[in-house]
Amino acid sequence: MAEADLKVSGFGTLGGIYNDNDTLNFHRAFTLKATDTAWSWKSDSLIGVQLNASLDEKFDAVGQLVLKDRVSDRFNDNIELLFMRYRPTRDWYVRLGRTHAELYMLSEYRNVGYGYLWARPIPEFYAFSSSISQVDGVDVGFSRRVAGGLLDVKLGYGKSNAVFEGLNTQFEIDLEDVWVFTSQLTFEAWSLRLAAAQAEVDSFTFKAIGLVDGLNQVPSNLWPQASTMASDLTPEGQILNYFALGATYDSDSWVFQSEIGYMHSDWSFLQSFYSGYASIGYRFGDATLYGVVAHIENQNPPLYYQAPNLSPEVPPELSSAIGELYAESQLAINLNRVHQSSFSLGVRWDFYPNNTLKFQWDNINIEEGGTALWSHSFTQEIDTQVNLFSINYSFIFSL
Amino acid sequence: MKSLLRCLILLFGLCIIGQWVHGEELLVVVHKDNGIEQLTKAQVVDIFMGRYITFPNGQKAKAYDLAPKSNDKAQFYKQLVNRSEAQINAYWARLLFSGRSSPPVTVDSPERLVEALAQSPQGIAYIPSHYMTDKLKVVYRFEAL
Repeated sequence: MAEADLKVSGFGTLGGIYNDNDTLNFHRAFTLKATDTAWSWKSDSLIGVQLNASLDEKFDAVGQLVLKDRVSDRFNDNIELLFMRYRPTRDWYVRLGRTHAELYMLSEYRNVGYGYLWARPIPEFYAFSSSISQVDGVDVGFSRRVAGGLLDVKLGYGKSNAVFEGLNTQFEIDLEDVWVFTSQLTFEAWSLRLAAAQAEVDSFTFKAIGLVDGLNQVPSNLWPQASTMASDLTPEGQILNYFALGATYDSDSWVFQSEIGYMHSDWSFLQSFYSGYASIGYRFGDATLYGVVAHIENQNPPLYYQAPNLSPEVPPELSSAIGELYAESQLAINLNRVHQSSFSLGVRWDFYPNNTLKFQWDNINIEEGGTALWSHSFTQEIDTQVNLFSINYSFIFSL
Repeated sequence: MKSLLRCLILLFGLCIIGQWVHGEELLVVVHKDNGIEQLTKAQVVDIFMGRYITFPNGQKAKAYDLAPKSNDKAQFYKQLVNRSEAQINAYWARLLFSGRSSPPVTVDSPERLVEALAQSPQGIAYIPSHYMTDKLKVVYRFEAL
């Protein structure tokens, strides 16, 4: 019996955030504008509307539009989901269209503040992955009961595009051959998750990338390392690999969640890093008190290339141009380094069905030269500390 | 021996009080013409927690839920997955807005639920036992507390 069924639902957050550091501007993902004022209503506030259409027993479709303070002004980027799903049997499905790259636990619902405990997905873990979230392509999923739990496995393939802001400038990235594999084993209270992803950089638009052309023009007999520096900085063809492990426990009074991840890349502009967090919460009636620790750090020390050692016969104009090229390239290479730890305390209060209020304090320690999760304009970096105070009201609705 | 007996009486008393505090027995029911005769607790969890949108025989399942803040709803999810209504709502927000599946259809009262179910061969719902009618069939009972 076919039964066409349309449902409209939505979610939103009105969030205020106070940042006590006047040089580091906060954004929860690189696709969002960073605010340079102490108080901001833009960092966490958003609104989303979703349409679910059930066409018959085997076909359905989902579309989701999310408005937030995006860097991009293209309408298309507001479409978070737009896919058709076919379920040939009880255990299998295939989706075609725009889906979320499900790298981490919150990747699929990172905009839905009502769906998680904290004021926002932990930036140390989610800022990078949330920035490459929309994948246009196809995925296949499968579920089965295994050892008293439910096993979900999914493999997706597609391409992705995003416009970012960082270091007070904009850049755009196109990824192709994006592969995402996820597996999750869910028991009554426990759930364990393993994911791996790979993507190839197809194009990258950023002003510093003009340096690559400059480096490629330097004759190799003058400065042999210029070509190595150029190829390490060249975006096209760079392979990014993600691996993530996660666990949650949610039952009765206690809620626990932790994820660890590793991103590998040989691209000098986006150097390999480890990240992770652990969160624990305790429920008192309608309120949940929680604490989180999080960390992100590059795998290797900063990359330094040997400075050109030019002979005195090289004309001074050329010599100074090459010297400048080296200095700028060297700076660009280590601009996106990350090294910070945070400690957060908060409370979520479910004061009314489908409505929640959250208060959160984050204390973040950022090591010298590891500020890439923030937007800022200084190049002289020092250790610093930031306190963020957040108040969020989140809701869901259905019409 | 005497103290053991006292313990047993106390335990029995607690069970009675527990039953009273939790309200009457909840039954998981389907339309009487539904091909399903019985479900395990895990299969009930699969349907009400949106993990599967079909009964184990592959037939489409349409789950019904009671309105927010009803005692029967709170008792059902506590017994099924040991979670509060707020936890269940947040869980469904995650599932719905990640595009995975849609939450059960909400009905205002057990009376309306029984009416809706009597007209829905795909339906499945939980009801307090005294609402049971001959148009419905019990597929799962929670063990006595």
